[in-house]
Amino acid sequence: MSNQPATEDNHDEQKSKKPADTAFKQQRLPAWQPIITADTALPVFLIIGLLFIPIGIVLVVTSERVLEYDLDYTDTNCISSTGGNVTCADVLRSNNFTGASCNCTKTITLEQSYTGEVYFYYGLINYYQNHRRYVKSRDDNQLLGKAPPVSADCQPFQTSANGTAYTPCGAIANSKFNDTLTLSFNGTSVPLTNIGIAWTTDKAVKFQNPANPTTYFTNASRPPNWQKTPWDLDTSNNNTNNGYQNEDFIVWMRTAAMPTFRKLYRKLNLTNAGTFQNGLPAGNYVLTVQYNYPVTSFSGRKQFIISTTSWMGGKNPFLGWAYIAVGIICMIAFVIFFALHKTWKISSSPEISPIVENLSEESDNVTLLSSSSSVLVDTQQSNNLSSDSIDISSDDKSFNDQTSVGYLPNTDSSNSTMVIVTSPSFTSDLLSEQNDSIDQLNSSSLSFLQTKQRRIDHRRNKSEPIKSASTEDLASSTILDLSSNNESSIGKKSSVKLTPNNSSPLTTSKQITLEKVSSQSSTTSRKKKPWYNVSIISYYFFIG
Amino acid sequence: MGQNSSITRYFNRVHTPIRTNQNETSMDNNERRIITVNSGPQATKFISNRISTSKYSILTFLPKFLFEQFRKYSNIFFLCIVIFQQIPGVSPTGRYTTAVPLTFILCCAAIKEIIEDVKRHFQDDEVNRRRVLVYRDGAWIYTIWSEVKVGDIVKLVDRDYFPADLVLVSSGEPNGICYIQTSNLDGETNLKVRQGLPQTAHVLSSVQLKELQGTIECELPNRNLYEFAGTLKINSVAFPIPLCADQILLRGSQLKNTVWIYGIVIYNGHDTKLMMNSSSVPLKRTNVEQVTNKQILFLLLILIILCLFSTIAGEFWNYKNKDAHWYIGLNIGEDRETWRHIGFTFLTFFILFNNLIPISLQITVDFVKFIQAYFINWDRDMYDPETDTPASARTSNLNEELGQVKYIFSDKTGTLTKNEMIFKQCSIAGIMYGSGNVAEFNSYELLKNLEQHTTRDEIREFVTLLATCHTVVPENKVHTELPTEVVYQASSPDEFALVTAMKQIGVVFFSRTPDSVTINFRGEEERYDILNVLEFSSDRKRMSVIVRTPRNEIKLYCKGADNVIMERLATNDERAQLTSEHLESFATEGLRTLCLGYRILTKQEYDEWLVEYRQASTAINNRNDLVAEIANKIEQNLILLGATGIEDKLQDQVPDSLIKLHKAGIKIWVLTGDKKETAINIGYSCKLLTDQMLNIILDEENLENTQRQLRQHCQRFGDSLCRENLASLVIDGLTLKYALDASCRSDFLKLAISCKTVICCRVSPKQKAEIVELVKQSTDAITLAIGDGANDVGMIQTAHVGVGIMGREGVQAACASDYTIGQFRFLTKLLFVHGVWSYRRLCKVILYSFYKNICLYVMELWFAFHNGFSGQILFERWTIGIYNVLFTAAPPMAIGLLDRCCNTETIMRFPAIYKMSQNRTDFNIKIFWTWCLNAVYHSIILYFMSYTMLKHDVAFSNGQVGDSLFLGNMIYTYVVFTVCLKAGLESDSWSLFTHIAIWGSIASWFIFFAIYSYVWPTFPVAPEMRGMAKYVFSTPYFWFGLLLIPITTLFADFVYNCIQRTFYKTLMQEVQEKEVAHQDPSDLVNSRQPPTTSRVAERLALLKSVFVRPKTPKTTGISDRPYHGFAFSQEENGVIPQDQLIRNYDTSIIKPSGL
Repeated sequence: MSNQPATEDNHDEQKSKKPADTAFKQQRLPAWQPIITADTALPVFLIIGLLFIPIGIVLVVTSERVLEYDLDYTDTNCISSTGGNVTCADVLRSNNFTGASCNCTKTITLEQSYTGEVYFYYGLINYYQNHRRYVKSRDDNQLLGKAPPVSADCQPFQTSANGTAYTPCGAIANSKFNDTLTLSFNGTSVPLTNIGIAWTTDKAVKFQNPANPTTYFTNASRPPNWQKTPWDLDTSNNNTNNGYQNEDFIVWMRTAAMPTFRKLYRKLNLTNAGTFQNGLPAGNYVLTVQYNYPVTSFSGRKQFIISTTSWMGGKNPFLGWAYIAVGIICMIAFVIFFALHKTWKISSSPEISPIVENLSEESDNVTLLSSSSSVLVDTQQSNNLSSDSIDISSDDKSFNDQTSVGYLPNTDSSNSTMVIVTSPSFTSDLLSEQNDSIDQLNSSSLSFLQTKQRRIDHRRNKSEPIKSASTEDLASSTILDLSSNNESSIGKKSSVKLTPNNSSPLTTSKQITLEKVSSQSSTTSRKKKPWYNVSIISYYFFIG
Repeated sequence: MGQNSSITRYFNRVHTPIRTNQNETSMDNNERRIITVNSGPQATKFISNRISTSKYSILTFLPKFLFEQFRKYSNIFFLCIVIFQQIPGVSPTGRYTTAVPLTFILCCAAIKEIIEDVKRHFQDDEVNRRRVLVYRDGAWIYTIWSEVKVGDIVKLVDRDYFPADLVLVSSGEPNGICYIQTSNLDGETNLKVRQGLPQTAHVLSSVQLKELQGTIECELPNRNLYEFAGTLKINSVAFPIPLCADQILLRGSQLKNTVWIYGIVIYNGHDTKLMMNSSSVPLKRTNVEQVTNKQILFLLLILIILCLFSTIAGEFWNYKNKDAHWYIGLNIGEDRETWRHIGFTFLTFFILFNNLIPISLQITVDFVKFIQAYFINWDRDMYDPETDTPASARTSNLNEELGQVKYIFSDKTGTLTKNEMIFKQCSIAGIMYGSGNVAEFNSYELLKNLEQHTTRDEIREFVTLLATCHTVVPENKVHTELPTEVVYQASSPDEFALVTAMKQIGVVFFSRTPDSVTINFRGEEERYDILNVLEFSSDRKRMSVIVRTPRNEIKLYCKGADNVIMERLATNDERAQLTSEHLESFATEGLRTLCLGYRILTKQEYDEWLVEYRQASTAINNRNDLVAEIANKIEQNLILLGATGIEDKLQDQVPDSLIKLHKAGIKIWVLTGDKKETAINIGYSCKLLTDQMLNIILDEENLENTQRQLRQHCQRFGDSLCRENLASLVIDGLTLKYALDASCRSDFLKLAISCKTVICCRVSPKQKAEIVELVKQSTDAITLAIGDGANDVGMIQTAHVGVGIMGREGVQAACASDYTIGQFRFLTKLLFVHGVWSYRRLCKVILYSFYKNICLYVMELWFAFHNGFSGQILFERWTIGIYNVLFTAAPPMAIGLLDRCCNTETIMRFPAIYKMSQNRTDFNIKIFWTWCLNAVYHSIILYFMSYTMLKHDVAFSNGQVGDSLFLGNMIYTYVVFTVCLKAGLESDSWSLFTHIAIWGSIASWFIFFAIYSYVWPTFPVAPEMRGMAKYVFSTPYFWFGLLLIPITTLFADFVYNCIQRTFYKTLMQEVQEKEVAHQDPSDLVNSRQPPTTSRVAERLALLKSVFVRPKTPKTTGISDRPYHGFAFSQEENGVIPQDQLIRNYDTSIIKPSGL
């Protein structure tokens, strides 16, 4: 292809498609790996506990300082002042809720003086201001002072019978709370203000009177339940608190979340000098109610509430107690985890771990179990090793639920038998292609092997000092022996039987190593899974 | 491809406007296609050679995309919600709060589709723009593939791919022969021979080409790869010449070992057989997806139950309180009929609760998978520098399946092996030469012995045999006598290896004429006359040549399988014993072996035989059998020379990878078209089979035997049947046919899944797919098929995950696969790292998506208890709508893209980690519902704590009270906080982006909230939100709640994680801890390492003695000795017999240049 044009060659010289070596593309972004264990969680519990309990106490104290008085004036606390010992509720009902009004008075006693700002609320119970049909039934555009038509959302209080839109339209507006509550102390009426009870944004933005309110409101139909037109709601404040911008109306229009709610009715007017300069003094007050609002039909209740506030707001100790509770739970968790952590630490016997490390280093073998086997090798160099009978209990009972490290005294001081049954675990099948198959061998072949094994044992018992390889063989055969018991007695837990002979330092260290190993393995995993294996390593050493 | 053809046609119209000007002829082209060659324009319009595998074009995008999207249930569901919301008075959340997020999500999906399709367009363009030499108007011009037209004459040189289906006119080789490799089409890697018509084979230059005028008549394009019928009518020849499949070169195959060819394009573009055969990849659904879908249906059921319950409760409340609660106005203007009313109430709740099913799940999952696929593409560890191919995920929706694979079905040639043969060892006269350890045959000793050893005559015969007894054709680059310049062409890679090895020791086969071969024996030229060639066939398992040596002796050289040669030996002496031992050692090393023998024939003997042979070879009936019989007669009393060992080179690190895969609990099935011996050999050399294993071989001729054998083996396994045993099964294609019979099927399956390794030999592509299907159907496991040739396409498409090996061989398997990698060894990283990561990430993403939605939206139910089941919402409608697309969209993405359980090195070192994801511990029904219940628990805490906290309404020191939305926004903030932190709690690793996602999401809500509280009345939305942020942020309750409530909510999760981590650690977590502590996790991993192999070996030796009954291996089906595979991969029953093939050649003639 010598006659190929030069471009062809260029075409062949393509850029290598080797991907770029960036941390993101190679998924090597540095990352923090949080590991939540008893260890790392302890400080978290402690910090939360130490932080939350004081906060809780502060909040509870704050809440306790708030004074609150409430009076349910739905029925018996509001007897019609026109006489006849009928409740105002009954008066309304007897008038079939057609706008009849009823007045009542009730004496209330404040046992403490309410200093500072005092707020007066009306509370309603079992009143579903959060009903979907109710919440929906308003027209925010209308409340901005915009001209009709009004939104169909206002149904069924959209337009009056003559076709003009209700101003304001909708169920919320129509059902505006219209009881009048006044309070007097020793004959002087308590100075109340209805300015500043609504959200400032509402008054400034959301509720706007139309350009020419007087004509606008007089020409429009007022909602059916209203006794006054919107423009007559409050004529006292130079019309700044009138029409849509009437704060009582605005407060009402913010629908409550729950069927039990309270709404700010009045504030104590502190600007007036005199008795109420510093709040409400303790004593008897007379509450006069102009009872217009019917609630009995739906078993609602009406409340009159006098309350001070803290920097947090009204009286509600819940948050404080919740802080304390969570703080205490964290402290309990801290204590429990600390205890667990301690015991866990002990079981992993940190003081002997250096030996393990030393041994591992010595044998140039990093694995824990094989470090113990490497000990074995070391031992063989210095000791005469001889085989021993295998002491493997196939009895289910020996497989305890817990790791058991037992020292069985042995009269024959020259023999020590050690069988470690490690817990079956995830890890046991790590890197174990052969292992998987071990415990699933045909039982017939296993029984065969068992007999074969016995023969091997027998032979070896007679033999001279055995080599490490044969120990391994023996061990592996033992695996087979035990794995035949698998189905019946999968020993999920570890069982270590150690029969020490003499107390040579080397032996002790070995015991400890193995102990460590077994405890490690038992703590690392106790989950029972079908693919778990039992791997048993048995060691025989004979120190002469 | 059916749907694509319309697009293609559209392209045609755009790109080849000239063609449309041509007149449509009224010819009868319904049954055949008529192509004019070299004589003016085509009579009929044919489609262009441009191919398109893309899904969309600009015009078809929108309708097709929408159709695709609305086939998904979730999208239909949300479309319904959108429609329901349009009914006035029904929706509690306004009209467009579902429509907008849905549109947004569809846009994201569209962008993803566009990106993917643009990629396909680019790929197509790349193919379409390849260059090819075309003879047009009497001149050779370069053009691009897409411009190649039917009737064009193209010239291709060695190693070129055919741009279209061609009729071979002539080639640079004698008699118009050319070699092609069709591995792309059918997976067969040996070279195939095609031969041009004798009438056109003389066309060797442009001048002659110009005179070649005529027409080709052929059948219409079809998908039949092996059949073709047509005629060529050349103006200079009176009668039409029949064309058959021997002259057809198909697109997708490659020209090999041939200098050049001329070909006439007959089918192009989507009419080519390759394209007709490529079917669209079937949509595969992943296991996780299926579980998710099932759970979605459950959730839908719960949703409906919830709606029914709420409807009944709501209606009951209405019925009871309609008149009492006068202020709501329920008693006024209620004109709906009861049933309609109930229906609308139901719809209200349906809309209210619809978000329990996460709207963003699909897109989140798609997006995460999409990027995960890019991570696969970007992985440098899976980049093959030799072929310059990075790994590539062709579909992104199967990533998590990679983490759950339990069965791998692998092709052999090209996948496990490189299909490169190398002569490694030989045994001559009982002396072994060469070592298995070095890369190439070391000839020093052999040469020394050739000079002065007692066996030097045998050595001489040995090398001469190898240099003469073959079908290789030499090609002298420059026609010189220099032996090193020779290049060989062989249809059998084994022979190629042998001859090449001979060349290296100085016995150079360098010239072939029709009746002789000439070799350069270490400087001396020797000419051997080829008297007869007794062909190789798989029945004979041997090949012989009868030659006349330069010393005028007549010798028969024979090479073949050991058992065939051994039974033909004159004497069975010690040498045969030694050779057998050597053969055994070759075989254990996984070498392919050949036995060599020779025999000196007397003149008389030969002449007598020749007469018989001639008779047989001219017989009319049963010729092949007769010839074989006669050949058998002379192939007797051989003298054994020795044996050869040829290594079928494995791909890099194949044994390692296979061991790792085994350790990960994956069972490996090798499905190969190769012979049993070859397959077993490869099994040994890649350590799939070992002598420690229980090797079962099934090779039965009929159904009854197969049935009986299967039953016997099953019984033998006893209790361990269907578990993982250290056993292997080798089964032959024919036996497999019976084994797949309904009566044997279950036994076969039981037996097969009891084995770690299964090797199926001589299986057809269809059988491959059947086996995969069988395993897929009968076990619950995820299957993966890996292959490189077209014969693997079936299984690749059948398996849950199909992986194609890209690179040397071609692209057909890659095209059908879901993932393509450059080398087999990359499979480990693909599975262990990408698979495990993707699986774990995806599971978390799905669980988390459900969690976050349930956590927020189930609160509407708690709120319903407080609002008389009226369907009122607690939150502002738009904040509900964009919860999924804005405030909680990033954390699942962060988990899905960046979460890492442990790093690459750790996973690669400890394949056992793979078992965790393989066993689906991260995602199952239990875990799914645990998460859902956890979400419900969280929502209860969040709702009721906030509710109690604000029960008295007075949240400000100025005595003012909040309202419904005031509470709602506070809860919403807590939910966003909790849900984002939960994502953090579930992350195994926090990278920078995780932080950004979690804290950014929380911040995004605060920012959104602050802005959104000021839009009314400037923009006509959210009047009820006006001023909300100011008030919410100014109440101390909010801030104290923000500290307390999310912490309280997550406390239980935290404690659970803590306890689980401390006392019930999973392996993964242990490894993680070690990794964090920068310790070597091998402590942990090795601590459970099984006894050393020697123990296992002994145990299995014992075991084997249990299994093996004192019977012949054949009857028990258990092999007691390693197999000696023999090395022959020769095309049988090809176009041209081997005899004729070598007789065609005369290397002493200079090849034409073809220009």
